[in-house]
Amino acid sequence: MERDTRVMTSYNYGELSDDLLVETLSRLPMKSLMRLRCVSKSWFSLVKDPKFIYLHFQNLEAVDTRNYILLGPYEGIICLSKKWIRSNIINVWNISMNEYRILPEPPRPRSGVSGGRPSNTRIFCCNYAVGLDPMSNDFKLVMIQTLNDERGVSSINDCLPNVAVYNFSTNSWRHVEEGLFPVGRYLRGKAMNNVYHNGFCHWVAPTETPCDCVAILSFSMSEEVLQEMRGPRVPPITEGI
Amino acid sequence: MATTSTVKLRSGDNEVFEVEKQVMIQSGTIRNMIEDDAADGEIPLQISSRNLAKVVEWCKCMQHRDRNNNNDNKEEEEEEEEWEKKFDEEVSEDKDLHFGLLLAANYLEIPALLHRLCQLAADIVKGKTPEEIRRTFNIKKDFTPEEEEAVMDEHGWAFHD
Repeated sequence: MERDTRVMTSYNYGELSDDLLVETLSRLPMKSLMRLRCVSKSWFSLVKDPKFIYLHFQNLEAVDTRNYILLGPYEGIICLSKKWIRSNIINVWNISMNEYRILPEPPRPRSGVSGGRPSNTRIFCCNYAVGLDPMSNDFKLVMIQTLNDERGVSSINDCLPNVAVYNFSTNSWRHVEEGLFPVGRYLRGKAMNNVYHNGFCHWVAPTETPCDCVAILSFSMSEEVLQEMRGPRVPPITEGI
Repeated sequence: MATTSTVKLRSGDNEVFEVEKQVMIQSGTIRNMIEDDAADGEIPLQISSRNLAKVVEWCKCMQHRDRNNNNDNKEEEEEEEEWEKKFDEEVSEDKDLHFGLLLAANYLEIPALLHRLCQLAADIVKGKTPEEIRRTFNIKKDFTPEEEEAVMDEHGWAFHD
């Protein structure tokens, strides 16, 4: 008889075993996972659990790693972001602190910054770098988006970039609006590797002409200023001897 | 060596299902029993006849599909897709069935069915607010008002499109 009454009882998903619950929740898209954090304390810790995160990555069958930009590790921080800029979700995993977070959405480009940006720009390419601000001892992530004019009137070469800095301790973004200059000729169509050293993130990029000259683009993590540095002339590389 | 090509499954409410072994080897639990020659009598299962019938139906459909994988029969393919769609709908609308099948697939170790059911459960959770999720999973909110505010502040963006 007891079994019969049990059959009649309406089940509740809350009775799922932990294994099944984890198996289920790890199939949710990232955004829903963030909502799960607001459900309860135990779900909050579950979604932060590295084992859960690992399972989640495994279950994202559709994820093609070629579509992701991986940054770091820098001092145990790894950032993962979609290459396609329409989705601005940046995941950060701090391995040393065993913390996982999804950054708030980065600020969108504003039109007409210092008069150097047309009103209908679109994002052409997105570059990120992570580093330490030696003044405040805080980690920061800088995002540099090269923009171009949707109508093609101005190209990426003369459009000001959209630059913003994410502060790990305040969990917020700040728009950088001063001292900007067009960076399209350095950071072109694809995301470029960068090097962090001594409070600066550096990108090395060949300039267009003459091609025997390199330039270094650097961003100061403490002053949050973008600078360009003309590199030395590099003798043209000839093949063979 | 086992002599018959079928296996008998007895549901929790004493209904017996005779199914081809070829179909039921999708279940790790039953496969082990067959390999150990322990499947010649009836296998008693703590699964209701309704749920067991559904599991068997699912296994049959999957086996049929796998066998016909190399066939280029458009009509059959469409039929199978239609069946799967109906299965998904039926399960998503019937919580008791969904729950019972989850437990059954877990117990019988049928990974493909378990994954499908977990995905369906995930789809149910996907668009829900924290309050709706708490109701669905019977979870008590244990945040203090301050903690709730902080956590909503940090994750509020996830509630917008």
